[in-house]
Amino acid sequence: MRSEKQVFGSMPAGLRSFYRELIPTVRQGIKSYLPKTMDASFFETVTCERPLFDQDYQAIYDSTILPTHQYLQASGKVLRPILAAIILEAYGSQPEKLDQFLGAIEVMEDSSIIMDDYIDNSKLRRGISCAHVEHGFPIANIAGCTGFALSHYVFYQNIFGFDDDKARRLLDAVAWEHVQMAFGQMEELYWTESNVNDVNESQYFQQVIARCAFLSFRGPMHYAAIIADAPTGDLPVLARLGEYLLIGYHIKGDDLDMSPDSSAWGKIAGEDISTGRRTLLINHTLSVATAEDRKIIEKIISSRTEVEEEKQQIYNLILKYKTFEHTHEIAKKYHEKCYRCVDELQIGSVHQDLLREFTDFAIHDRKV
Amino acid sequence: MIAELLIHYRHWCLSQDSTATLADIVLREQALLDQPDYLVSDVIGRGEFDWDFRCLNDGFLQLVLPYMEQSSGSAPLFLSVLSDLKASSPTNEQAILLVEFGHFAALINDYYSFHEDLVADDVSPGRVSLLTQLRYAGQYLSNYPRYLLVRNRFQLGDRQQIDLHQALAGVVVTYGISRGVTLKWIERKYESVSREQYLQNGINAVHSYVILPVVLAMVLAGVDKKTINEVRGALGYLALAMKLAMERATLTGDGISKLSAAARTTATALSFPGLPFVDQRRPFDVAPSMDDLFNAAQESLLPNADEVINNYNKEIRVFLTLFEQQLTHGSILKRWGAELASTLANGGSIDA
Repeated sequence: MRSEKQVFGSMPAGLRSFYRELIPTVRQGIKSYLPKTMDASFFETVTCERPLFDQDYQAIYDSTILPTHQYLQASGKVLRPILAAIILEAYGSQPEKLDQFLGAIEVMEDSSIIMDDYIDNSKLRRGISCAHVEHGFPIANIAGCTGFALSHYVFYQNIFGFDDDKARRLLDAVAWEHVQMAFGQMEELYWTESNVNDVNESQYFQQVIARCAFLSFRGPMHYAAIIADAPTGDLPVLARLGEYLLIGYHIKGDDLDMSPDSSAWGKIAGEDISTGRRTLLINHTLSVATAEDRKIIEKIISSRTEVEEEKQQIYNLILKYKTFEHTHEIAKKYHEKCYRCVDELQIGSVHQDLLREFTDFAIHDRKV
Repeated sequence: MIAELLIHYRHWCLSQDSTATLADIVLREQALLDQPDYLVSDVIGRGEFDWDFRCLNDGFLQLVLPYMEQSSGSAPLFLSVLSDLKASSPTNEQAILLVEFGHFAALINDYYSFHEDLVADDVSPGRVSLLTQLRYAGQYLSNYPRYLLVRNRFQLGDRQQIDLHQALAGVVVTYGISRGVTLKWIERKYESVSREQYLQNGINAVHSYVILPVVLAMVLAGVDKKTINEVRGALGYLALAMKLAMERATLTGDGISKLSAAARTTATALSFPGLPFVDQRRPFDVAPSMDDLFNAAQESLLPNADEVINNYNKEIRVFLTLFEQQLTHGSILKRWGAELASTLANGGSIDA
């Protein structure tokens, strides 16, 4: 379990101050949004059904909510609620009054990574056992998808009583994000399962956006912008900003996976290789390597190895072909694109600065 | 599955017409699933970069087509309620995709959740990886028809759109809760499960086949929320009668053995005859997989099959009566109650 200091130690000063100020609101939001027990009232809230009989609420909690709580207790970076809060405030809403929305965003994140972890067959997350290791694959599957579905009750129960137009726009936005996410997930699993070795950068980026932008970071920004009545013209700019932030953040994540530079990362190095994942690092190295080296990479990647020497071999080839330099160049390009998007937004300079600092942190400075 | 039971209620069904309508709607949509132009224009959007559509034919469709061959059986119910409410139209009928694709996804998800490979002590990573690809193909199926709402294909006002979103969100959670609880009960060999808990989980388990189709049809027909909620309550009893009828069918030799492998896991989970064990507080002592549990339960009940079936018949009658009583209190669908009573009085096809 990582401390908040480990998370924000490398944060730019303005963002760190905003983060510190807001983190109690987010924690309170999570606490009140996802109770630590299940009862008839919460069942009705999340299912929209009134039960006719008594239920085994302990079994419901244990199989659908407990794994998400365990992830929440291990303290993630809570970046998505913070970003959503910046957007809310930038357009004149008070994040403190929307703490359950911010909590919901983090519950969405933590339930969804249960699914990421069993896809990757990861062992550790934030230093604790992954849900499928702790509870087995079937419960992890049910808990991940059910926890994720119910984490959206903020919208489908319209707990803030938004008018019908806003409530419908939020639900449409969520539905669209989920269609995208499912398609992106399918693309990536197909590449991995079928050992596809000719994915180009454009396809890779589209897949990353489809698979991850629902939470990192387009989705939360979009929801916050709708809630705060952002000008219509800003919505596509925010969508682009969310996607570019994601690309930079993802490249940083791939780098950290290969060579985690902090003990607080809480993951095992080279998991992407063991998963057979076609990351940008792998795809680019494949595209520039000699036939001989290419063969080595393809063989190791498709074997889903957990042997350290083989992972090291891939790492050495990535160094040999200067792929880190290539991906860092791309990250730099998207960092600049993010800044340009921020300049376009009709918000004050304080929040523009916060978004720039968020960009710096997500793409360059984060250690975990 | 549920279809075989519902089909007895002739007044609900447009019989062959509804089956043909459903098949037509599903086949037309199926033909669009691998059409990049359609997906880009209507479903996933253009995107700043390039989609890789190779995943459709080589991956997705190969995996899901076997599951798409087994209909939920809910189409007659959905279509007949639409018709009763004078809301039948080709556009509204297309909403059956929200039920059917959800059902296909449930077949896949159940296959994943109850698969013996995944409850073994030493799970093979390769097997997990393959099953996970299947599981996410199912997730796409479940999410895919939501584009109908995003594009407002049903031309609804905000309120109705919200109600549809809500119904669909609720059913995913209800489905997950029912399966999660079942997994937990299998883990503890059904010890300390009360009758009430068992019955409510039965309602949750078949919610998507009985309650959801009616709610969708009523929303599309513009029925007010208060009435929809009244009907929902009543439908819980109908769902329970259906669930128990499925359990009973395991003792009358109907059902599961005739189903394709793709549909069998869900049918096994839904038809598991647990009520007699819960009522008699008889624990199970079998390996923790759905198949083992099902076979052991069936074997154990068969020597007293007549008695068990009679008990099921009584239970089903009770819940159908409750359904009928609930519907007579101001519901727009109260004619169902009267016709059900008449069906039961004449020998009750559900008991056949």
